[in-house]
Amino acid sequence: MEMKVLVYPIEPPTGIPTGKLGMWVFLVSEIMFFTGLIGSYIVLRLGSAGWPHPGETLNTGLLAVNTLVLITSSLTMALALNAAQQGRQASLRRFLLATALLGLTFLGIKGYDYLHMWRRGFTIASNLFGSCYYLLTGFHALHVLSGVIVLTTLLTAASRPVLSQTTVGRVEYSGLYWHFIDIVWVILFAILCLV
Amino acid sequence: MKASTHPTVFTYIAIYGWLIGLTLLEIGVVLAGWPRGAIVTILIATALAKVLLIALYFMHLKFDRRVVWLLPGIPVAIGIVFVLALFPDMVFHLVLRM
Repeated sequence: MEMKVLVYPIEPPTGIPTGKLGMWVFLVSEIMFFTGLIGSYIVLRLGSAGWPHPGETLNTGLLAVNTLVLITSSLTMALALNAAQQGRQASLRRFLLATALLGLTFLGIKGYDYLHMWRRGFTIASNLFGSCYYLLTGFHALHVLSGVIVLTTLLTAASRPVLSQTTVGRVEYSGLYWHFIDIVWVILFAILCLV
Repeated sequence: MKASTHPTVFTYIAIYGWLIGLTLLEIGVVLAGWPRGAIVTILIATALAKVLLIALYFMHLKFDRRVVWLLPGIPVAIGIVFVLALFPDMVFHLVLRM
């Protein structure tokens, strides 16, 4: 009996590596998720009278420091990919570690911010602004935590004697996720914490 | 498979400098106590510039095939339409408050 064997080409029809395409599809769902949340916030904010001024309620200085921390982590993530692509394994490990530590610093500052505001009486149940603030920043913080976990697993893979192409690919895909988290914070910082 | 060209370390650091500069500008504008309309306009413009810089250079969209742009572009467009579609309601509430 004659058998037909299907042979798939090495290059995917889209010209985009499968892992990268998968990450972008995942990010599309994340964009929809945050667009829904941020869109709802804008609608609530513009439709409500007497919205509190963020500068009087939030610790803007602390949030600005957090913004700088997350932007710096984006740079270290980009440098980690650059090191991975050039096969500089020691640099890759250093930059991945720096990115994870900056992510943890962001979470630490966020935790302190929550505690500080909670003690001042600004909670999730205070008003509509409180609900929006804790919901948006809380979901974002969960994403940062997920990113840190992913970076930790990458760090383990990068510590193996040989740096595989699979690991290099994973660094790139995880980088996309990490930069997306940065983008979300850039938007949240502007519309939630400053305006 | 053809490897996509990625930015150099110098480009990454230059983009980082721009991002830090734009963030400091945002904070400066708020601290300066400019009129609210001007603050909102500048903050939207700087946030948009930062998003574009991160997406184009750190996420390499500038160096990727244009088909990749469709993936984030479509949901972002839907989100903008979603907010714009509710604008009449928001304007109605704003007029009611006047």
